[in-house]
Amino acid sequence: MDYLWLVIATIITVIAPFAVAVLAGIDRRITARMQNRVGPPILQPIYDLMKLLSKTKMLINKGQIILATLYVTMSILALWMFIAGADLLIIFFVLSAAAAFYTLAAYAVLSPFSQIGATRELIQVIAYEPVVLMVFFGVYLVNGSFSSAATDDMLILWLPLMFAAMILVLLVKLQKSPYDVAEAHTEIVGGPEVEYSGKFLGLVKVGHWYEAALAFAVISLFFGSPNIYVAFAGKLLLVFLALFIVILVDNSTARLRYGQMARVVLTYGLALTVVNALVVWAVQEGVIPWP
Amino acid sequence: MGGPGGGDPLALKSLIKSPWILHFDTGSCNGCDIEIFATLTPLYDVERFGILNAGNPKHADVLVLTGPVTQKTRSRLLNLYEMMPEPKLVMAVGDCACSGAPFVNAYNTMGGVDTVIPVDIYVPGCACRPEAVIDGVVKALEKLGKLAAGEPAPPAHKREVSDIPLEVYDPEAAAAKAKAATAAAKSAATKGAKDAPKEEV
Amino acid sequence: MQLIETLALLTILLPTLGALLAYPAGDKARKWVVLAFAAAIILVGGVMTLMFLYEGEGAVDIGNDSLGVDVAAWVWGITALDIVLMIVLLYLGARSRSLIAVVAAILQMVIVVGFEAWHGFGKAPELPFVLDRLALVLVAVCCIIGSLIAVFAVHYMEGRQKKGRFFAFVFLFLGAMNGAVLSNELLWLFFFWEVTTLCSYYLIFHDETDEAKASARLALEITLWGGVALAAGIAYAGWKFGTLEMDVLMGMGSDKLLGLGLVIPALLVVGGMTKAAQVPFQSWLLGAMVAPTPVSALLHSSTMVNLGVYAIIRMAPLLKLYLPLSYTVALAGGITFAATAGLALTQNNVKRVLAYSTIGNLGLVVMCVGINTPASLVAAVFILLFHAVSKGMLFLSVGVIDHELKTKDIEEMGGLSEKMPFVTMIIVLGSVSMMLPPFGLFAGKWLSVEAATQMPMLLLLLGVGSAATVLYYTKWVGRIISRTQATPKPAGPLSPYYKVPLGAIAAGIIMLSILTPFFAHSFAFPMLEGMGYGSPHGSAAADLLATNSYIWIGAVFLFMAAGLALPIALVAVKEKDKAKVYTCGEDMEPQVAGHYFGGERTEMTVTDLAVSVCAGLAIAIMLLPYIAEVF
Repeated sequence: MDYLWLVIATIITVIAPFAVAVLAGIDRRITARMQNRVGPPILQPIYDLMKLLSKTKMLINKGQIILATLYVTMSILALWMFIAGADLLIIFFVLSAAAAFYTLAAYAVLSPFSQIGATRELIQVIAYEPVVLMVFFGVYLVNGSFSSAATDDMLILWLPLMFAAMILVLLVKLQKSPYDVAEAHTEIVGGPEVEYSGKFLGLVKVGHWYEAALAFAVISLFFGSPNIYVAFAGKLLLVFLALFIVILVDNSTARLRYGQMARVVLTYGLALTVVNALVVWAVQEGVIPWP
Repeated sequence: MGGPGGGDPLALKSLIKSPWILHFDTGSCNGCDIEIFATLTPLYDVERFGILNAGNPKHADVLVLTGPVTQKTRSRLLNLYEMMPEPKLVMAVGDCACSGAPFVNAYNTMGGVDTVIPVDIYVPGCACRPEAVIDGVVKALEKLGKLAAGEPAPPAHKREVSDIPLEVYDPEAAAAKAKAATAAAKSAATKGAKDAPKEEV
Repeated sequence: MQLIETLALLTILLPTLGALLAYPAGDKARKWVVLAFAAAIILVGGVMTLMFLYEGEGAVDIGNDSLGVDVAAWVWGITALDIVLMIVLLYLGARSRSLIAVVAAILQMVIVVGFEAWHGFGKAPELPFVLDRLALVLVAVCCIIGSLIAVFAVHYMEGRQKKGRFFAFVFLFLGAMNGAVLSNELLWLFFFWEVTTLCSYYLIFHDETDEAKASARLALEITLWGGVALAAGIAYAGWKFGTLEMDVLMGMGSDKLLGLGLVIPALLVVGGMTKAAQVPFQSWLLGAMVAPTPVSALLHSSTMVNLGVYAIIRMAPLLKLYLPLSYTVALAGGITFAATAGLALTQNNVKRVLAYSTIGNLGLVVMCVGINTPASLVAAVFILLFHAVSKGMLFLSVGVIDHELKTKDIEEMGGLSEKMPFVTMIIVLGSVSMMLPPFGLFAGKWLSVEAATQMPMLLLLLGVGSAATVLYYTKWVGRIISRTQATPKPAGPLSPYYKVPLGAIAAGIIMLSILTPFFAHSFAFPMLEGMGYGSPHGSAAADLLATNSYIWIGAVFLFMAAGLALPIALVAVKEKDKAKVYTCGEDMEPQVAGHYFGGERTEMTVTDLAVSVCAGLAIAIMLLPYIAEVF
């Protein structure tokens, strides 16, 4: 095992939430410009986090905090494993664990908003997890292995439909309209997050940032190049492209009902990934001639 | 009680950068509420101050209130106020919230927010313009800045209600009183003449 | 070597003796009989396992000169008992007024007696019992988990009727299960298999309510027809290929078996599918949930249904000879997994949720066997072992809840974390071990997803099924840990008959999960070689588990422990920090109920769809040998 790479992965994992915070700030800025206004400074999410961490402590019960911490640790673990080059499947299961702990944390408080939010979070899980598994399968088809280590292959040329499916998943993960059903701010007042306050809300936010970091990292898998600088620039560009598409969709649509969300993400996501996988398999087997 | 507590300069400084508001209507005619919603629209763009509309007191820092606090909303207001973690600010928007006018002596209102909880910023107006609301927010942030720097700043203000003759509505007492009145009426009716018509109680 | 052979035979004989002693005993005496025999069986099973692992031998042949007797001479007793057993099953079918069961029992008798008459009654087998690694897994689970469940049942069955019959059949079942798994001679396997059918009938029948009688009848119908398939396959093997012994059958090359010889694995697989309650045969297992919970834990999650899957795993080398057959089996398993995962979502009765979950996980094992690569077989064994242990524990905790709180409805289990904290922790551990890393079942799922890349259609089914699994377990655990505002009174202290088995199995799960790489590397991979497969190269997961590169699994353990320990240690909760929940300013105690993920109609629709597809696949499995013959 390359221990130096593990150390690098640890460093990147520590910096990751700040990078995602900047991305979130850019997201808010671009959203503001789309709405013909100025918008907050780019570092606003970090100011938000600092403010949250400095509030006085307030919680409902300790179980909620324990489960929220488990959620955050699993998210951190998933990102660390990804950067360190672990098997994509074990990352998939760790993500599943993180989602389960987040939901359990929401169930641990007897608040109507929290419980409804928890159920919706579960429905989200059943909507995007099969799609993510199929996207990983697509990566396996092209790369020949489930390793998350970066390769030189331009996956997006092989897997454009899977990239589109991943955008759908990104919309759900980042809680963007039309699929922001779990958090559903004006509908169920924050859903699973409603009973967190101050430091603990900050903790959950950091957990969300790590999950977003992992989602973006999976997006960055789709670009590859032998030259490390080109690869880095390309991955960054792809992430910004994905972010821009997500912001555009967010600002142009209204929220769907949770049943609609599950149906759309599951059917379109699975359809896109299955078609792409079939085409890739056909090309690899020589059924479809490709130059 | 009152005002941004703790006095921790870091907490106050970070609050300046990111004040999240919770808007609550304590019985207003909704004129000021509409103006507050207008303030939150892209036209006035309060997000550039980091202001977000949090729907939930646990996430909020600034409690933006309208209305003269009716008897019924008093307990809810106290519930929400207690659910907000420190440091927090209270902003009274509109004449009704500031002083209760013109409902100050009404039997069903408390006469302004500061009779219930300490208020940091008063923003008068009927209805209060968005620009005034933003001005109030700026003054609030300035106050926080002063407190963070350790300089003296006007404290949160709470009025005592003893000068306003008000009977606070107690639902249980009212129900008990109503029940006693009905029982008395019934016994009076049965004690009366036999040919008195039977009342449906 | 002598000792291991003796111990293996004792795992069959000791429970039988216990059954005979437990039946006539009085209540008090019976309690001591059960405890003594349970302890003895655990000891025998444990020592045998440890000795086997220590010796490192591939397989232990148990034939002559074990226990000082000629084991092969048991054939007389077994043949006689077999005929008696089939008559008893016929009688039970008639008593239940089930024409289907009667026809099946008669058919069984005709096939077996007819075959024996042709073959010659009482022909001693060359090698009656074999203890190899696969058998060891099942024998260990049966002895240890089975005995712990018997201990649990001592307290659970207090105040119920006919306890003598109950414990007699429980112990008889343990002996029969061990016998079936150890059998190398196929007719003996059939005999023990039908003994378990008999035990299952009486144990489901136990409460003697109308529902119990109907469920027992359904179980009898379906499993008897499975027995018919088994008997037919065995008779065909004996008739066409002249051997009734599995090791000989496995040794026959593809040139002999390809073609109509595939009838043997096809029929045995279908028989195994009925025993393991795979779709389309799943209705009996759902009906069997009316039985007392220790029965559900023992028969219908930890052991008996695993017998069906064991038969299918044994047939894996034969299935490999004709891949279309193998892949059809995989597809049937995959559809079972996905369909039952979705169906478990619609249930509110927690025993039915666990029943669907059992069927689903066994479907996953069948799917892995069908994919028929070394890595997928490792996955199959992993899932088999970890599922048996975790599911048994979950059923036992449901039994505690049923006994103490008299409810099986998920919606009524709110506040359990305050009423019964120990049981809550057990349920959380059990559920987490069924779906999340780093616990054992996840390693099996990981290997199976990797293996499913051979047949991408299965990946879709796996994805949907895994997501649904997370959903229904999280829904249940969420309901349990959701605290109520009014603190419920904790229920009284749990009887040690409950705490000891639950605690022991919980400790076992954690230990087994930590030892996962060792289990893979030193046990599962050699097991594959014994079955004629190479080592699972090319599978990253298998490589990881094999090379003791414990880093990823270790990282998961570490992070999870940190996530658990840090808040417990660092977050001090004072009264002033506690807040009320947000109810829009109202001062009220919210009451919430769960979400309904589809009701009876969804259940019927999905069941109908899955049953029709899988029935077609089962028919295809039985027809494929003929197609193989033609082409």
